[in-house]
Amino acid sequence: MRVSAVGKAAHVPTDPPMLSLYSAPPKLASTPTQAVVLLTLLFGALLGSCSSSAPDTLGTTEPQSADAVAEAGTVVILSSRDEQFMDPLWDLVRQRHPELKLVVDYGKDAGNLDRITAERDKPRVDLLISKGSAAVEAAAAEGLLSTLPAGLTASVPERFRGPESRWVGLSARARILVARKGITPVPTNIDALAEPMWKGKVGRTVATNSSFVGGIASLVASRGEEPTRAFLEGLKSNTEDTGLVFPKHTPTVASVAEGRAEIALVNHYYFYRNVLGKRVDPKVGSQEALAALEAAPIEALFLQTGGDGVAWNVSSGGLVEGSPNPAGAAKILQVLLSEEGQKIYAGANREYPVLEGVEVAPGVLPPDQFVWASTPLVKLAELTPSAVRLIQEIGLK
Amino acid sequence: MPRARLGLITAVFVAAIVISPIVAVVFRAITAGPALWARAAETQLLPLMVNTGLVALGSSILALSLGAVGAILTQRFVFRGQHLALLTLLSPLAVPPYLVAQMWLEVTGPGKPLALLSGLRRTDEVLQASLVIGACLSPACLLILRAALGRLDPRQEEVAASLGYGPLARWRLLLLPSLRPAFASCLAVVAVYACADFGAVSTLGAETFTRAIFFEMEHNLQDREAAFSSSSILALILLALVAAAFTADRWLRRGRSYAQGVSSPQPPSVEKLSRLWQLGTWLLALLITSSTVGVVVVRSIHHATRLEDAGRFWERAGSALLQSGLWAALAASLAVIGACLIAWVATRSRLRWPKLLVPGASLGFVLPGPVIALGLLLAVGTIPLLQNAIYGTASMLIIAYIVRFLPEALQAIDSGLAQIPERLEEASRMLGRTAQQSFVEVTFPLLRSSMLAGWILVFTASLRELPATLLLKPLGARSLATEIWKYAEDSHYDQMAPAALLLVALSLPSMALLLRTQLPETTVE
Repeated sequence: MRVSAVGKAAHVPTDPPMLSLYSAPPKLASTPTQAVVLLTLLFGALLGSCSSSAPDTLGTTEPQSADAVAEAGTVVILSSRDEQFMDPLWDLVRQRHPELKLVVDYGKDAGNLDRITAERDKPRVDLLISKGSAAVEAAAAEGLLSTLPAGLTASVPERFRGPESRWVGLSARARILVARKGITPVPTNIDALAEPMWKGKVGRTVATNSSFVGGIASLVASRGEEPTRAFLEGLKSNTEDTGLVFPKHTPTVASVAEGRAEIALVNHYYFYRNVLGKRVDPKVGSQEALAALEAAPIEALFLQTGGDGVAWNVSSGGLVEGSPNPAGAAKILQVLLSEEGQKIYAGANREYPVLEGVEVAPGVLPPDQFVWASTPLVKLAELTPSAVRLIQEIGLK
Repeated sequence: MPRARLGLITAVFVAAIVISPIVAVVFRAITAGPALWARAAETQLLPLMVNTGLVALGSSILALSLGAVGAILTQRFVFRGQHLALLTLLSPLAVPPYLVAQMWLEVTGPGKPLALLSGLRRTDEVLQASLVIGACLSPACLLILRAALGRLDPRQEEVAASLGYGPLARWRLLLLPSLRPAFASCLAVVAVYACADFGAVSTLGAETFTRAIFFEMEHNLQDREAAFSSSSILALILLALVAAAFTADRWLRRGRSYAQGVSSPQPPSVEKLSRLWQLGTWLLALLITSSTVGVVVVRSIHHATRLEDAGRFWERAGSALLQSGLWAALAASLAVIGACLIAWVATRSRLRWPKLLVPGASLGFVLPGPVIALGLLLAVGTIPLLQNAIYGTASMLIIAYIVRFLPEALQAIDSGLAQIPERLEEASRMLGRTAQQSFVEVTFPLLRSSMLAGWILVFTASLRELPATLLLKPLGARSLATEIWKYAEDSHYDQMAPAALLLVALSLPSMALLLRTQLPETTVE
């Protein structure tokens, strides 16, 4: 016998069909009406509360309201650079310009770009701050950014500025090779990553990392698509199934420091973080930093990672075209580009200041000791889609 | 019957809001143009389908296995400390998979307590993601299977035993076939979740559809229109995959009736668990809990106690809690009202088609966060008036939460409403009450606990939602999930700790609610 048939045999009592003498009138009568009213009210309240339910709760800034935007002295800032990093800079801005009221939103580049695009007829944002250059470049290309006052950008080298000075770099970072000391031969350029002799010894971040994509765009700019494709294919074969592809930069550098990998491609400050500590210790001077670098098992190679020099990128800022408070926003950029502002940029994350003459953090290789790749950033932004497509076509994870 | 129609229209309106992001995505994908389709087909589709499929398969098999073992041990046997073991097995529900994934990255990092396990990283990202999602979702399978085991009629087994079938034969012939629909639900629930997961797969670097959609939307800054179109293409294919998972679930249950008849007044047959098996149960429970909620809580406390400038980060986490708590509460309230309305119209309408409102409004369950965000941005973008009113505001986010989690409320309320006989209201009306009074005085009190359950489910889920929040968060606001993500992305685990601990703490009410349903004997009504 089939045991499972037992269940089917069981009688399932069902309710007899109701004589719907009284149930014939609509059941949905007034309750849903109430619900409609309630829903409408709630949605209304929701819409009404949009701005007030999104108060600025950033410990360091004043509470905002929709009207705050219109108030004199208020500057609305969208930043893809994170709060932790920007806070000391905002403190400096407040010190210099106590009359300014800062409303800062920390978001992603894409969301920030979409927002100023959506608001283009009635801009609410004054200043766009980005951790890279692609977003400001795209915004500039769309005519969403206004030309910066000449006085503001005069002290910044041209390579750190956007075309027609529609945006300005605020700090620079170099794409470097980190290598275990004592390996032979010491790589002389980025191609080592793709050479068969380094198979299984190369560490890198996942290909979706934005710095990685930027580096590849730089390569496309200097070499063209086909050589870049060959490079990516070599890199893929060298890193596939090695366990040396990491979601983030920090473990990538660590893999070299631990000897699991011998070379890796990273932003320069992740190398210094690994050797000198995550945060810059104000008590550690240049001598101690250099000693620590000497003692470390790894070294930074500032090589040709982007054509004729070290691939690089900048964090950036731009003024939104037609914004309510362009003067206030310009004042803020002025502070970020001042010597003191640039010192904060250099100190907090060991990035390169864009203002010449401002010193780098202790231990960091000074910019006069290596060559920046000559590819202009606008080219980099233009070529980012090609870089993304190449990565996807090759199927680099 | 204008009033009746008004109710129906409102329900249709709510369902329409829920469905609109899907419509927008599908429309955008279809009109994307052959060039973008060709590009997607050439470059991405195959690996994405393989990876997404493997994560879905791997995690659902793991979750099902863990859940099945746990369910059998806690439902069919008795032993000391059983309730505690059950609580331990259910504990992963208190943490979202992305937090678990982040903490595993942290704890196996260089110089960290489990650095020895960093060799695990050599394994495939897809496998790692499957492990994390599978472990985190094992409680869902445990619950489904416990309920299914509890519904089995013990008399069937008695009959089988009296016919001379041994325990193994009874399992093979009677229990396993009866549990087939429950197994299928487990696989479907976990697979759908895995397809929609963004945080865990991104953290561990597994290339799946949600990650590709997010990447496309985040990285193609040069051509936003193409970014939206390409994301829509990927989203449409993902939806097709998920639909396939659902169809497979139906197919597994095809042509069979699993009705067990009325529930038996007799207690289910339980046996005493041997000491060795007890030890095994505890080991399993400890393994599951320590690898999920344990690692998150222990490491977060470790970091929180060593956090520099701790006041500042606790304050931020606190304000994020208030902020996202408010959004989640609004979303939960609206979702419960919407779900009530839809369930009500669907169950009580004399018409046939309103019944379709329930599955229609449940579509959000299979929609990954990035797809909902994309769909909403597209839908709102087509209506300038709406765009001016709600673009970049909390409303977008709250609607996204409702779209995504209304199905959870709907499930709770729909099943609750189904258990309330219509006769009660009819009796009330025969006694002279209006339809409205009948609902308020009769149905509503009976439905209250279902509504509360729905509210808590939506609240907790909204609070931890990550990808849609990342894409739709309003100007200057914080949420617990995005705070966690922000710090974790840059490996600042110490700064992440306060938000992580608060998120776990806020999951406790839903845990308590679950326990109440699982331990009826301890409930005081």
